[in-house]
Amino acid sequence: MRFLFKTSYNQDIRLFKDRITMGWYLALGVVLLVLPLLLGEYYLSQASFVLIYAIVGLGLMLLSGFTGQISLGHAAFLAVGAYTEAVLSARGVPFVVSLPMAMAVSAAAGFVVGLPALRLKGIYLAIATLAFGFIVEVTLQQWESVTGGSMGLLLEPVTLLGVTLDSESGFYYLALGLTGLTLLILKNLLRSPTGRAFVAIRDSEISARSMGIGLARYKTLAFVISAAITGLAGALYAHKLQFISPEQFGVFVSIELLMIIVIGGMGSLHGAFLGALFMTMLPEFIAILREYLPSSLAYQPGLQPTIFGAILILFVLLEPAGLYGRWVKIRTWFQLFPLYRKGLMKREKSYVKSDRLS
Amino acid sequence: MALLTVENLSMEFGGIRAADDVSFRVGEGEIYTIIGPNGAGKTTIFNMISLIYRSSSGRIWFDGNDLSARKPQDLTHLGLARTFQNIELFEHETVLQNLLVGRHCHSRTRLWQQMLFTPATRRAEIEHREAVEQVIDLLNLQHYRDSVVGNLPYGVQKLIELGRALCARPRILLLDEPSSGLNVEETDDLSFWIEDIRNLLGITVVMIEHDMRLVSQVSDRVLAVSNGRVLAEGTAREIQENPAVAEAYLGTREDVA
Repeated sequence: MRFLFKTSYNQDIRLFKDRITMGWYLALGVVLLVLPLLLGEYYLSQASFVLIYAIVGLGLMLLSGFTGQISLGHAAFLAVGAYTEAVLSARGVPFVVSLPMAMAVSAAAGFVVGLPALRLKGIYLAIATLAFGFIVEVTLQQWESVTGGSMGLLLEPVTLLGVTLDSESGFYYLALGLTGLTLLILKNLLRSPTGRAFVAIRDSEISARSMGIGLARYKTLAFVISAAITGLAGALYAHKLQFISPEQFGVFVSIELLMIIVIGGMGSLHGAFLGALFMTMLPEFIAILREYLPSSLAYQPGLQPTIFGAILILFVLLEPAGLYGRWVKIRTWFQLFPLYRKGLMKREKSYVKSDRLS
Repeated sequence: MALLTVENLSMEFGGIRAADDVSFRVGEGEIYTIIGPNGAGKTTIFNMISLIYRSSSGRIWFDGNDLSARKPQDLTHLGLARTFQNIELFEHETVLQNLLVGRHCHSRTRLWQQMLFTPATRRAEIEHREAVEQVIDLLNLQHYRDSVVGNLPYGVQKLIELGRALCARPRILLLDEPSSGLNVEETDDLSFWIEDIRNLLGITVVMIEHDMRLVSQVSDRVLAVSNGRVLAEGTAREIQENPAVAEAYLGTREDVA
C-alpha cells in the first residue's frame, strides 16, 4: 500500500491524486485515441454508443448520484436534445450552433422539471419525472409538423467546421472529445463549492440550508446542468442513429439510463462509464446467450427486459455500490494483501436519508 | 447593545404552544445557555431563530437585522451558524469535505469559473482550505481529515459538526445539546473548546445543554424554560437555586405526597 505525503493544499485540489494515477489515466487516454486502429467498424460504433451513454450517465449521475434527486424521465431530455438537433440541422444550422442550442433547449426543459422538484422528494419526484417523460413522448408523437410524428426524422452525418464526419472513426473522435469535455467540467464542478453544495443537499437538506445553501437554487441548477448534458448526448445520439422516432425515448429507455448509474455505482463519475460500458455490452451478451438457449425460450420477446430486470435486482441486493464499488473493493484487497478483512468496506449507516427535522 | 434579541416569540403546533412569549437578549461575546426539561421547547426556540420554523408571532433581531424577512440559507451569510441535536452531517463524504461545506457562505466564485476551474477558483479553494485547516487544528481533527464521516465515532461526529459551523466564521454560534452522547472526558474537552471559541475567536455562543456541570463551567447567563415559557434568567448558580426551576425539573412537595 502506498502512502501519500501531502505537502501542499494543491494536492487535494488536483485532478489526479498523484503521478502514478495520472499515468494510468494518460495510458487510458492513449488507448482510447488509438482505438479506431484496433477495432473494426462494428465495435467502434459500439464504442461510440458507450461514450454517448456515458455522457447521459454523467448527467444523470450529477442529478441522482450527487444531488440525490431521482429522475425516471431522463429519456425525455435525451429526446429534447435529439429532436432539437434534428430539426435545426435539417434547416441547415451548423453543428457548432445547433449543439449548444440542443443543450439550451434541454436545459430549459430541465428548469421546468426542476420546479416541482423543489417540493417533491423521493418516490414522488420519481413519479413527477416519469410523467414528464410520458408528456414528452406523446408530444413527439402528436406534434407531427415538427417532429414527423411516429414516422420520425432523418439526419445527415455531422458536418463540423466544413468537414463531414461520415466515417465511424470521425464520429468516435467527436464523441470522445465531447465526453472528455463533459467529464472535465463535471470534475471541476465537484471540486468547487457548487459540487459540494449538491452533495450536501443529497446527504442532509436541513443542514445544507443551515450552512447557507439555497435549496431552490441548487436543486434547479442540478436539473438544468443534468438536462443540458443529457441534451448534448441526445444530439450525438440523433446523429449516430441518423434516424429518430418517439419509440426510442420511451419509459423503458429512462429506466435503462437509471440502470447505467445504479449498476455503474451511485455517486462516482467512474460509475457512469462502467455502467455505460456494461449496458452497451449486455445486449451483445444476450445475443450470444440466445444461441445456447432452446429456441422456445431464446426468441421470447420478454427475454431482454427480464434479464435487465434480474441484473438490476441482483445489483441492488448484492452490490449497491455498483461496479465501481466492486472495483474499489478488489483494488483494496490487493493493496492491503494479506490484511484485508471481511466487512472492511461496510458502512454503519445505509444509504437512506432521514426526513426528521433536527 | 445586544447581538441577538428575541422578542415575544411564540410557536403553535395545532393546539400545542411549544413556545409561549419567549424573550431574551444575548450580548456580544457572551456564552448564553438555555436549559429546561425534555419537551420544554428549547429546540423549537433554536429552530425559530435559525428560521427552520416560522414563529407564529414575535420577532428576532440579529445585529440590527430583522430575521423574519430572511430565509434559512441567508443566516450564515449574516454570521449565524448552528449545529443539530441529532447529528446532521454529510455522512458519505470525508471530514474535509464536510468542513469545506461550512465555507459555502464565503464562496465568491461564479459558476462558469468553477466549471473551468480558473486560477481564481483555485486561489479561493486554497483560501477555504486554509480556513478549514485552522478549524482542524483548533479541534484536533487532523487524524480524521480524510475519513468518511459516517464511519466515525459519535463524539467525533459531534465535534465535526461544531467544526463545520465554525468554518462559516460566524459571529454567533447556536449549539443544540453539544454534549449529548459524549463521555465525561469528551464533555470536559468540550467546555474548553466552547471557552476557546469565545475567547480566541470572539464568537458569541448560544447553546442548549443538559449537563449542569458544563453549563455552570462555561455559561455567563442561563435561561430556564419549561412548557414553552421562560421560568428564570440569571447566572448558573442563581438558576440552580431558583425554586421555580427546581419545581419544573423535580415537581413540588405536594406531587410527592
